[in-house]
Amino acid sequence: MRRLVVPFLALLLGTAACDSGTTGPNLTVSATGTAIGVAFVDRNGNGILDPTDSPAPGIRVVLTPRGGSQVVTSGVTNSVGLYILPNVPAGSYRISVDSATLGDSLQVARIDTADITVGNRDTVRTTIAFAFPSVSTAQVRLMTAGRKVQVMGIALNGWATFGDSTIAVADAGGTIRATRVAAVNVAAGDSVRIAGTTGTRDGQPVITAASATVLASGRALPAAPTLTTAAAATAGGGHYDAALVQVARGTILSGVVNSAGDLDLSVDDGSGLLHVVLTARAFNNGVYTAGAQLAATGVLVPAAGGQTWVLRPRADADLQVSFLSVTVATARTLPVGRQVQIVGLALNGWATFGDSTVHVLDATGALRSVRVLPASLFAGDSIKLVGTIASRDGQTILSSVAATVLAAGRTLPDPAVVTTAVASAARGGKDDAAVVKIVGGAIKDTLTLPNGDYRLHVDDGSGLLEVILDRDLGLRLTPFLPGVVVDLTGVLIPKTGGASWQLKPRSAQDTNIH
Amino acid sequence: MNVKRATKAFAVSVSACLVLLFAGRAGAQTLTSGAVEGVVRDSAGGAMVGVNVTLMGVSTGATRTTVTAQDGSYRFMLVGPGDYQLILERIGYRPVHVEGVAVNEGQRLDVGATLARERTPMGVADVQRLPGAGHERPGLSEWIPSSAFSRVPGDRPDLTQVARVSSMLGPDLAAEGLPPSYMGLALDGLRYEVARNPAYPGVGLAASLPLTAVSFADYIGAPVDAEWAGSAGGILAAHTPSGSRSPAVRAFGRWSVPSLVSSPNFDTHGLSLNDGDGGVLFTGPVMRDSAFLAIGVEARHTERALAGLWPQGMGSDLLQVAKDSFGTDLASYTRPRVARSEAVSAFTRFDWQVSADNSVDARAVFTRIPHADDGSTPTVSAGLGPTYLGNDFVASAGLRSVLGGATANELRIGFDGSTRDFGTTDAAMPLPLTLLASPELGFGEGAASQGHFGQNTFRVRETLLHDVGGQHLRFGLEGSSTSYDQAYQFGAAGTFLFGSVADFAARRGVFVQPSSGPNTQFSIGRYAAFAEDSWNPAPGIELLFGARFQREKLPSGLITRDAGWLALTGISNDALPRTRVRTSPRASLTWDVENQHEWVLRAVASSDDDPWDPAILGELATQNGTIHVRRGVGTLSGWPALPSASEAPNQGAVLSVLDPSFRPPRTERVSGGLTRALGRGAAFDISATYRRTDFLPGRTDLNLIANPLGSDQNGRPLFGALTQVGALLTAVPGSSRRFAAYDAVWALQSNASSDYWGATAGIHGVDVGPLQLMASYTHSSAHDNWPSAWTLPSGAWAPGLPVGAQGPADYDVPDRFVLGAELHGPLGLRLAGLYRYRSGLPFTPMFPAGVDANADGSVGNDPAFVDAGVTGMSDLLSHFPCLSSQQGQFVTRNSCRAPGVHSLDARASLGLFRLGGSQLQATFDGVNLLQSSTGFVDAALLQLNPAGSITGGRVPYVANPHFGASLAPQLSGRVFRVGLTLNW
Repeated sequence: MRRLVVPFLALLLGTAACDSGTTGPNLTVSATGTAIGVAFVDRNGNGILDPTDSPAPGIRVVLTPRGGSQVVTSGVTNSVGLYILPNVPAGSYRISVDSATLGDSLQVARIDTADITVGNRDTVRTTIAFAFPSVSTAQVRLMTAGRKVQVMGIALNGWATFGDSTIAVADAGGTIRATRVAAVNVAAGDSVRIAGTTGTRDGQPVITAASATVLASGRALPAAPTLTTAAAATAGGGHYDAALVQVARGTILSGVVNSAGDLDLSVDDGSGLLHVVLTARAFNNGVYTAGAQLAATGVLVPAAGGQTWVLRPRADADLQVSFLSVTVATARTLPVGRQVQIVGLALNGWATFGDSTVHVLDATGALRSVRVLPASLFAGDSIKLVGTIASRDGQTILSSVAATVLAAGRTLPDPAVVTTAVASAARGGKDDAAVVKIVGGAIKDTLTLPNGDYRLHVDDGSGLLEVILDRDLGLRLTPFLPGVVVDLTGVLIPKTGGASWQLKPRSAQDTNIH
Repeated sequence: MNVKRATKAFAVSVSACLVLLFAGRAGAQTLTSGAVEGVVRDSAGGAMVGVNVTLMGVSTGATRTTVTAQDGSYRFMLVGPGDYQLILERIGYRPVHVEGVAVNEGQRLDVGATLARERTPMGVADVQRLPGAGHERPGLSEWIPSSAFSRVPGDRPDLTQVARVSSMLGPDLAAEGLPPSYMGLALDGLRYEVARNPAYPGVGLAASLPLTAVSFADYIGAPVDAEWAGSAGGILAAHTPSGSRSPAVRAFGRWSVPSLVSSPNFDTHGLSLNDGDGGVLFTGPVMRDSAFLAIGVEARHTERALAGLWPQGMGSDLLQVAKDSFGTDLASYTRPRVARSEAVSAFTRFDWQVSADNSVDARAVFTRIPHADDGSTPTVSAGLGPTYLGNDFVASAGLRSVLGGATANELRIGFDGSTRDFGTTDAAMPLPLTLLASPELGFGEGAASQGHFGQNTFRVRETLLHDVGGQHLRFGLEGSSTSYDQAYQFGAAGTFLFGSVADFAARRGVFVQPSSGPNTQFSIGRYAAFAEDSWNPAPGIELLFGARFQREKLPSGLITRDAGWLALTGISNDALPRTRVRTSPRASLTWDVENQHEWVLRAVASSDDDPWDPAILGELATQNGTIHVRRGVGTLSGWPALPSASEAPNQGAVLSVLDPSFRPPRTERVSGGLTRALGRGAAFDISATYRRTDFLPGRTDLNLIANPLGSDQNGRPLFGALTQVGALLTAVPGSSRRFAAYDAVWALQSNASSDYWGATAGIHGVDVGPLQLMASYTHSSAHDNWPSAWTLPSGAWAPGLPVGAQGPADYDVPDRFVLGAELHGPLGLRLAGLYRYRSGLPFTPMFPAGVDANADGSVGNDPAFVDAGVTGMSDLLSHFPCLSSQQGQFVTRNSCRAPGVHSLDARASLGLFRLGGSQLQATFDGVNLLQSSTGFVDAALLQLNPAGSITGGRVPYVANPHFGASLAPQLSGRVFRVGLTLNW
């Protein structure tokens, strides 16, 4: 119909019947912009392009509508990881990566930002961070060597703890050891991401050539299971490889410094031998001596050769040393050099004789301790002594002693009253270091010794007994003249050579002049 | 109204009479005045020169004289409307008096006469009646006296009633397959605009003119007169009555006892309708024989019964759930409603014949509509409420001067102002607008449905007429300035959509809410110059050529720039052309065969541009990126409270952008017709029109993703991620958007076109015994690719089908038939009836409200796919040929059609008393007697099976068992009323 009408109108109206078009060009959005970006392998896992990160070339970057998957345009990253998508129709898109162009082990870690809006003549920049696949420690243990992975977990030790750039990491399903970790400030308890290559060291899977990133600090460490020394030495059949474990109580059999300068303690709780290796200079080595009881927490690390594991405590705090608790009677039977602990009553104060000797009494007898570390203890205190069995003047003593007061002011038993002759022989040695009392002894002679002590010879008629009034007692000596009859109490100390004992009163109360 | 003219009009216009006329003559009249001309011959047929011709107003007594020219012709230009008689005298010849010369605005009378050479006593004259076809107006016109549309009762007693007696107009004044907003309105030759809600193009369009202020109306389909600015859908011109020589008062009152209402379609028990109107019209002289006044007031109150908003038998589940789960009583939605409207209006007109050659006039009409409720349903527009208040004022004044015999001048100024304030119907039920997809029910309105629209226009027009050498020339200048005021918040109260009653109970659905936007005020200046020439190349043949040059000046700085959109797309939303110049040529040919006024052939061609639509400028100014839409899909836990920001997050800004090539629609039209006068005022007319309108506005979503993301099982492209929420289907918010920061971004484009052809045949003024008849039939076809006729600029729910899908127009009505009859019996008994038929409107089988099958973020643009395998489809296929013929494909646009609409209104009146000039009549009215289809049906073919789920792109569709069912809310009850009418 219109074909007929228009010529008719033209004829009738003498016009060109206006323009014949019914519609103008429709308004459409024809604007375009550019999307560019860089793709990189985020080696340290922080999602940010750092100098240490490497470019990711050959990756296809794809632009899709926000609601769909149709590819609007795509481009491939060049050798420095850069892609350019020119002439992108203006709009809002999602940036993604064609997974077919990713290697086996790379994964997209972060796209900043994935949802972009390209405007007219606009250039929108995006960074795409790739990372190794994030796997669990249990998965790492099942993987073949050479795969690039990352694990996230709690660091069981710091980067420098063992002096060998290894970090053990625990996640919910297990533990793994990272070796050759690039220097990083990681402390035990940090939440870390470890990226590296799967491998084997000493027969156990590890992540090697690793880098670590601290995600958070101060997280709770996993509970350390308690193993026997024998179980720890085999890591529970490998189950506890790289795990944090503890052994409750073993005895240090020996300690040697190995070639790396570390202290290698052989410990046995009776089930079997375990090597506990203390990193050089990180420990108070003097404490960890043979015979000591050791409770240790540490990371189980396979020993060279892979058949056994050593326990590597991380610091002194991982170790608790304790000693054999013995009676005085037992101590007197022990060989020289054993460290023991004795609990009893102090027969004299630490400063009584001015020579750091303390005498201790338990139900089985008394023992002399020398070289007692300074301690505020007095006669009658209940004390614990830790020291080394030694021998002096033919009698067993405890030497190099650390004393601890357990309770103060206990009542000492009344001393046994003996004759001077018996005292001089310490009842055949049985009363060595014990407190005894003589009654009615007459002073035979007196002498001031070069060290200031005052020496008496006393005899109650049974024989002579040497009595030393220590100058540190601060006694008034004028009454102690030959011929004076006295009652005296004191500790029996063997004389040099050990043939006889001398009596050392401890204070003025130990003397009584008739 | 002039009593005598009114009486005659009643006599001439039989019952609902309709006069179809075609004319192509112009040059001596304007749109507000008429002309009388003719040729005087002697008995031998020779032209008589020097005959004195006197034109005398019957009611005014004023006279004008002229003398016939060499060819025997005479002409009175710019004759004010009224009844005249013509006296022709020459010495030696018997004088002739011609009576019944009725002049109307914009019309020209051809009054020829023959003088006999006969000696007669002085003062004796031949008295002639003017023969049949008298009224002529350039262009194709349907002339309708007010009596035609007031003699049979109707439910809307205003100018809209003209549509009832025309087979060319729809009930809402839609014409030629175009929406009613494309109809131009004029009063006494000057255009006026009624403020309107762009969402409802037809509401209140012609409500402002009271019937007392209308003496007749014209539907001018093809305006050829250069004084007319074009409208794609034609012009409805109303004309006021003038004053009278002797004082007269006419009062009328009509009151009905509470009417009886019945309907087979809904329960009308307890409905009581009150109806009445009344008015007084005074006409009389202000100065004897020269100045006249008409003044009138009128008030009316009308009520109309409508079916409940929910179809009978539906919604009981919903009632129960609302009551049990939410403590809300929705029973009022099941009950029938009463649409109620009130209006008070005043009218005045003053005419003053200052001298024989100069006259002035002034007219004014004021109407206040204190309450109007069209009873409309909740709509997916979530727009403005269905009630409104209105104020309209139209005034004009003119000065007409005849400057010598060959030149005349008219200056006319006018003002029109209009406001519409929209609101909700029921403030006591402040429920948010809530829609269900299956069954398709809705309730609530939302608290923020208010809107204000206003416009004020000053107009001035100067027209100069000049006759030279047989050429009738007309030149003119015209200017107007219109200020518009728009304050509206489409959908800002938020809209809930639920798939089913169960979904509603579970509060799972879809929520949409645009934020409030700015209001806007702006002005448009319009200027025009026009020129026209007509002449007679041969006796009985007249040619006319005219052109109109128009310029529109659009506001600057109206739109705030959205810098974000500009940066994203390079497209600026604030680009608006400043001015636009357009040329509208017109031409017509009239052939009065043998000059006998028996066979008259006419042809008219024109090209016209519509003015800029203020709704488009308003949309651009308000949807400037500051309105954000939030959408929620899934759990809406707070209903009726609006969902939280997390349930319905912001989806971005809505924006409207004007296409740089946008221009107002252009209409090219040719029409032709033939009139055969049958004598005694009866005539047979046949006419045909072809119209083509280009550059109709459409909208495209610029923020729709460039390419579909996939397709469903039928191959329907999906523009977003489709998600099913119970029985709803929608796009995951944002998934269909090209730019994330924006919701819909509408490009307003003039990319649609409409074609119409129609043929009308009619008879009028035919007497068959005591029965007087008129009938008119129009067959037409309107096709377009323009689904936007009813779509909204809200961003919430739009647009229609994509432009480009050709099909029958939304307003395509192939057949319209009107039959009017009136029977006068004894004892003042009068029986009148008006039967109308029109085809149902076409529709596209689609989905229920809220289903977005293609996930493009818009609903209502998804044609259904006819799949015989869908549950329930086989039943529908056997009932609907439009479906069975489209099996295995997407339905084409408007490929189905609702059933035709029959209606019958009747009135019987009986004179009771006559006291002097007063007549009391008993009146029995029957309105809407035939309860036929409404012409609107449920167009949702496919629904979602809530038990199913989208798997592998396959959407679980089931057929809607109610497809094609008549939409009951549109049903109006049958009304019987008894009343008294007093005409005094």
